[in-house]
Amino acid sequence: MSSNQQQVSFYCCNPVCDINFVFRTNLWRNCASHIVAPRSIYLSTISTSIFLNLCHKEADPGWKILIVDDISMKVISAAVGMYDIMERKITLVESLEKKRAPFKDMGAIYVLAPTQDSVGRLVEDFSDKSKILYGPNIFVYFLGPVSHQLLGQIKQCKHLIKRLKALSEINADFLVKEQRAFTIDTLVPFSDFFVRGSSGPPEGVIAAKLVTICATMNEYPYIRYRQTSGICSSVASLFKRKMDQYVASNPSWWYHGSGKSGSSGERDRSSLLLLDRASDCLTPLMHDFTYQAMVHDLLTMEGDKITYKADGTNEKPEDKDVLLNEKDKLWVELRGKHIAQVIEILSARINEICKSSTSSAFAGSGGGNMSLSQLASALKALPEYREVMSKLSQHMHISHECMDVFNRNALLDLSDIEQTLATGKDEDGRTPKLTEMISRVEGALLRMRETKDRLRLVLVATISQNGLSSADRDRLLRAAQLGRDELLILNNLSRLGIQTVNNGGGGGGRSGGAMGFFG
Amino acid sequence: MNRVGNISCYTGYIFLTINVSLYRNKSKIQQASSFDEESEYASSRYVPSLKAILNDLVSNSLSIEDYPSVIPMPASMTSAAGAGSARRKGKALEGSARKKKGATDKWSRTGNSSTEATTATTTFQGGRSMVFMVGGISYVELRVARDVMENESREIVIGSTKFVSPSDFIDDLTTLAR
Repeated sequence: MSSNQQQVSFYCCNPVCDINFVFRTNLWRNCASHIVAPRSIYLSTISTSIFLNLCHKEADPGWKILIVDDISMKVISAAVGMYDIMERKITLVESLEKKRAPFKDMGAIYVLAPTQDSVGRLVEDFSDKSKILYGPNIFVYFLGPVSHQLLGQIKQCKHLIKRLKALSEINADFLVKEQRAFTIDTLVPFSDFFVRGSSGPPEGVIAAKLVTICATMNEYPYIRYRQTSGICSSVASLFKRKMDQYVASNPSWWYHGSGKSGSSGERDRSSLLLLDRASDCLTPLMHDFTYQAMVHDLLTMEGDKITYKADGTNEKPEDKDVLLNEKDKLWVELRGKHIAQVIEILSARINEICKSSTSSAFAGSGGGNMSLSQLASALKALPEYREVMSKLSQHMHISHECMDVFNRNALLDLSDIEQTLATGKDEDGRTPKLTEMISRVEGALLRMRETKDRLRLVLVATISQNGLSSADRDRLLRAAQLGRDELLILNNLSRLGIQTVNNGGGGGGRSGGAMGFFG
Repeated sequence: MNRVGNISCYTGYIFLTINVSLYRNKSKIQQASSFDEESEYASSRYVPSLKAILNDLVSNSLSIEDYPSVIPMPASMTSAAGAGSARRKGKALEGSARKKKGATDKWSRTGNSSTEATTATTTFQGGRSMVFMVGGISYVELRVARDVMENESREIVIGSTKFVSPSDFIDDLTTLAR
């Protein structure tokens, strides 16, 4: 198998249907000696399946319209830029949900999540012959497996079937946001993972999407799960069943560790560990001062997008949008580092550029003592530095905005309280008395302005101590002045198995963590 | 802690920073080597429990009682308990030894030293470890996963139902009340 070879396997979904089979495409890569990061596999799966697909190139070489729903829009924009889309002979990207203009002489590519809503709208597009918007060549791609029921709906739509040139599943119903970090959107509220809710069990959706992910990465993992977690154990057994089914119905699919890939650099079989948030609710509440965590905690973000006030060219500050994602190399390099270190690195680089650019631009001007404005004009004079410089200054702005909030909210002191609560030891390795800590928390609560911040600290105190005594709890609640909704959150922690009141009994619901440090 | 204080003093915008940096240039070079480790910052003492779990997972010493397997696993993947506990004992030192990769690299004993010098983009030992957290994962934990991956030369793929900021997580907790 050569690398980057694409295979298409067919499976018959219903012998009496008009569409005889659904293409199940998958980019099966043979990574002989080096390892391809999941994000790279993911990106090429998407662009290859949708945009390079031979069947639609041959069927219709002309320009086309791309129609997406909300979920597939996220997937596609994560994978390809607007430029790439234009390159693939697509003139326009339209939203399935909105009213669209007709392009009767053009073909259309639908990329959709396999949901009832999206399929309904697709069928709707072709229900009335006189109102069909597009030309005779229609291509439909689903991000994940389509159920028989939805396929049935498509089959019954005669006008669509007549025009349909391809219908395919592309195994991409998840987002790989970082090189090796993915999310799957279940559209299920948090509580439903841990408390039986109204929207039905989410295990099936999670298991199905994990199968897609493993299939894409050529992994058939050993499955492990947190024994005390109900959701983990049910996802584990469902995943096993679905994964076995997938393997059985795709005989030419191979996996790492099977010995079948035929390459010399064979890797071991993988493992999948299932954990749940309920067993560690402390970590996501703690203040952390590494760059990525701090930006997401302290600044206003819209997904990956951050808007900051930049000094415009003419004195007026203007809003600037920046995407903090995998495409920004500097972000990737800095995001895991402590904010102090980030600022050091940025200063050093800016400094370096200044030095090298001034020495070349002002070689004859006596060097040495330059004013700030001279420095600035020297920078502007050197276009090769402009791009690097603008990235550096962007991050300088953003990191300084973080530091502004850090100082304004006295986070250093707050963080010390949190760290001491969570680890049981203060900065000098001393173990303070619980009453001493409660007083510090109380003092901090009285100083904090935002209700959400106060709730956060009360949560950290409660969870880290595995519940507080009624007296301590009352003391903190008096200082925190929480509203009814916030109190409800606190009381409902018990639904996650977290103890909120602990009258010296010790031990209990939560395993691990920092319990019983104080007393 | 001092350092954080220092940095927080010189807020302001970019050209001001250039100026300050130029001014501080000499002392900064001398400091640079001590700036590397996280443990230096008093505000980062807490280690998320995920870190120990990941370390155990990639060293094949994750407790089979607490984290059972759905299908039987080969003995080699479940019985390396010695290595795991030794690692935990050395945890206090971990922070300060971080940058000297060659010296602490657990995988150097396999005799393959060519992987040590280079970074995460190159080869990893063994199979992939995938970790999935139901209910949201924090950005701190994403970093922890990257750190363990780099330090142990093992590929870790991490996933969740979503990435959560502290504020997102508190919003998620409100759904419990409904």
